Amino acid sequence: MKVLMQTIVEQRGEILKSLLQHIQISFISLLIAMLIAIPLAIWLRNHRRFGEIGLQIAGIIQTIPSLALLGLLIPLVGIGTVPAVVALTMYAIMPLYQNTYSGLTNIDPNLEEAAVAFGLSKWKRLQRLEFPLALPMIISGIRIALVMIIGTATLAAFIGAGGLGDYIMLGIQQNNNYYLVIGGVLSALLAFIFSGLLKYMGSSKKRIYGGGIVVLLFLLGIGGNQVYQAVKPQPVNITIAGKLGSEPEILMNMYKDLIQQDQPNAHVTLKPNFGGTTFLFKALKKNQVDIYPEFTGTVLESLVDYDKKTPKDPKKIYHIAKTTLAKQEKMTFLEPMEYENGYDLAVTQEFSKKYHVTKLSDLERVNDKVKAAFDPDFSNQQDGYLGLKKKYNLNFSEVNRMEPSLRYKAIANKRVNLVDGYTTDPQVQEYNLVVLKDDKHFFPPYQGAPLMNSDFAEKNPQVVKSLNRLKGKISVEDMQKMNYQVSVKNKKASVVAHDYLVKHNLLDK
Amino acid sequence: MITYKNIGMKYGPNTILHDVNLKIDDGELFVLVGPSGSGKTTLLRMLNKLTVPTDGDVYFEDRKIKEYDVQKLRLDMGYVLQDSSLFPNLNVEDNIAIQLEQKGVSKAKRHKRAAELLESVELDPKKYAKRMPAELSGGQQQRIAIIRALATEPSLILMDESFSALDPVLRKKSQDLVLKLHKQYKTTIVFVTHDMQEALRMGQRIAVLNKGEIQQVGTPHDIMQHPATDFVRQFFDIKTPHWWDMDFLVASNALKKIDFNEQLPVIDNFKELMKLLTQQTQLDFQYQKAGYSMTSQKLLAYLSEEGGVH
Repeated sequence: MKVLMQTIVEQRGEILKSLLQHIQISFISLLIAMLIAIPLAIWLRNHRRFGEIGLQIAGIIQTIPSLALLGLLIPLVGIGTVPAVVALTMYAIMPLYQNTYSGLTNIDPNLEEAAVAFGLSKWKRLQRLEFPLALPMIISGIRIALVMIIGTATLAAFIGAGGLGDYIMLGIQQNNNYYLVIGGVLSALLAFIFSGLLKYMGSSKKRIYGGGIVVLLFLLGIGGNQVYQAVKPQPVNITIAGKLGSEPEILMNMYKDLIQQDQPNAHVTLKPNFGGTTFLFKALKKNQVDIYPEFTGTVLESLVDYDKKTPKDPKKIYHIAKTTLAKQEKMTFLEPMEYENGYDLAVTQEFSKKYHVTKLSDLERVNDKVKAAFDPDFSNQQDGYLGLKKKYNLNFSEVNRMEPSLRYKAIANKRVNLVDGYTTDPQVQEYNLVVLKDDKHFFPPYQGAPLMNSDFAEKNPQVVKSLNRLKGKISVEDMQKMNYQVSVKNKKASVVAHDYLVKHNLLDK
Repeated sequence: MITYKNIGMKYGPNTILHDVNLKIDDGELFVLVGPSGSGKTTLLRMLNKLTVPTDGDVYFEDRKIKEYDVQKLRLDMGYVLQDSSLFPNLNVEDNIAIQLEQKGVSKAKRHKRAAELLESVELDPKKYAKRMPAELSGGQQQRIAIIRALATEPSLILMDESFSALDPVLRKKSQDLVLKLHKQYKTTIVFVTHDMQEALRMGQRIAVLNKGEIQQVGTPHDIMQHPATDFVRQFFDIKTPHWWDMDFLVASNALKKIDFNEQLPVIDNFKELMKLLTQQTQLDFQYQKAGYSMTSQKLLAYLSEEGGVH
């Protein structure tokens, strides 16, 4: 509890920002959905056949899992707020459309006939009879949609839209229950409060008008802010993203500090926990992000066409990665840092002792005893389990794929007895695991370096210069310590990064 | 004036109406009566173009209905449906003035007109104008529905089984109200009912319909005295003569009205009255809280006039 309060107090700025972002995404989606669904239902109520088809389509959209829908939207509208709003809007259309449609079509036919026989125009009938009678249904549709949007919006964090989902994702990544509680409780609270507000508003006509005005003002506020943002003089805008976990976030913060030291007017946006490798790489290709830290080995294994065997010498790997990226993708891969980060496999102390396993070649003997949990990337890559299997003749009895941090939790809870990991992971220490020796030198050493498009590098030579200061810096121990600070001790990545840079005289203050 | 000329109506293979010819005069309270499925409501709905005949033409003020602008036509007609069909989301005043609102009449004028009409049915506008329909009794709702039809001072009011859903007491009150308002405003009213008692009570002239054909058109007296077809005779159940009905007696001039007094003996039906008048030549009594006087002589005169049915 104390730690939770401390986390909240320390991060109140960020929490508030996420909360506002969450509200903003939710409201914009809801309003767009209302603007689509309600007129559509009004229009289709007199064309019952199309109206029913509309219901079916809306129902089908609803059944697409939200994560899949978000994924499907990326190639169409990119990443960030836009696809999140599009996806949430699509979800919200269903309850809004359905409720408006049934509200309008279930009006007593006698009343409808009376209105027609009185000579009321279509518009008058809608305004004075049909809409007011359908309004309670419509408002309940809005409530359902809003609660659903607020809940689903937590998933928007996975495609870089921010919001409270950031905390939930971070919580899962870093195995930090406090973040999970903050993200989960706040989004639940938000849904609860707004649902209550809508119910209150819907209980009288005056309140509906009042509520409408508040929403309008809110919209004007957002709109005004957007206009202001667009009009005010723009300094250099740089977007730095990173993969999931604490290490990329620390590196991104270092990049930011270094860039801003040299260019105080640069406006650097960080998008931590942005997504997996291929997702980030695509985002970079599309110029949706400008820089992200990537590993040399990953470049050769997953990102470029390179069919020869990956060499074991880190320098060679970097050289090949750099030239291939420049040739195939027109990207610039800056000089790597010192530490080598690579995959490893780790087992519990207990397992290691019981079966006398200390190196990877020992595993062949106990194939049937191994219950493994792997990061999805690792289990699919040639430089991961696929290659490892051949090299060490492995065939584990059970292989589970799960998110990086969940897999450590799984081994801590004894659900599995073997996991993959990175050499810089702090959890090895935290859970007292045994890292198995790669005695046949299968895993290539991975070094981290900033990756960017070449035209960006040409346009921003100062940024390249700033980032190159990290060349050859940061040892494995430094990185492990920093990761430990962030993911176990819950320190802020920005603070940890800043402290390191100051300590090593890379930053003035 | 309304004229139905050679009206036919077919839904697929079903003939709803066949060669209907009918004239309704201005200011008349005209009743269309017949069993369900006889086509009476279809005839009514042709007047406000909710239904368009497949054969023939309906004329309103010497113009074919189908040539009218439908909205204008409807705005100048009152309409009272079976249940009150008040718009539940609008208050009494807005309900009454809804057609005026569509016509673009100012709010102040609408308010005034609604108050006028409410007063005409003895509902205090101060008390009732802002109430919602759900806050009214069934009888009050029906009264509002009736005056709503009067709001635009229409030249024609259509009433479609308007009182069928009411209990007998309310029904009678509503009938009285329409009769009173009709006397007051001289509006043409076309009234559809399946209830022959109601038809006899309300209609200045009655058209009896069966299976899409007109059986007879005439005053209640004509129909009772000279039913044109067997159907009419059976429908009006002439075995139990209409003059057997106390209300019919009260409506005739055979009774002398006297001051009401609680002491007067209560008479509920015609049979009781006859029985008592065989024992005495003159009887003062009360019927439905009103005092009447009747002599056996008057009774005989009444019977000789009304009872001449075969």
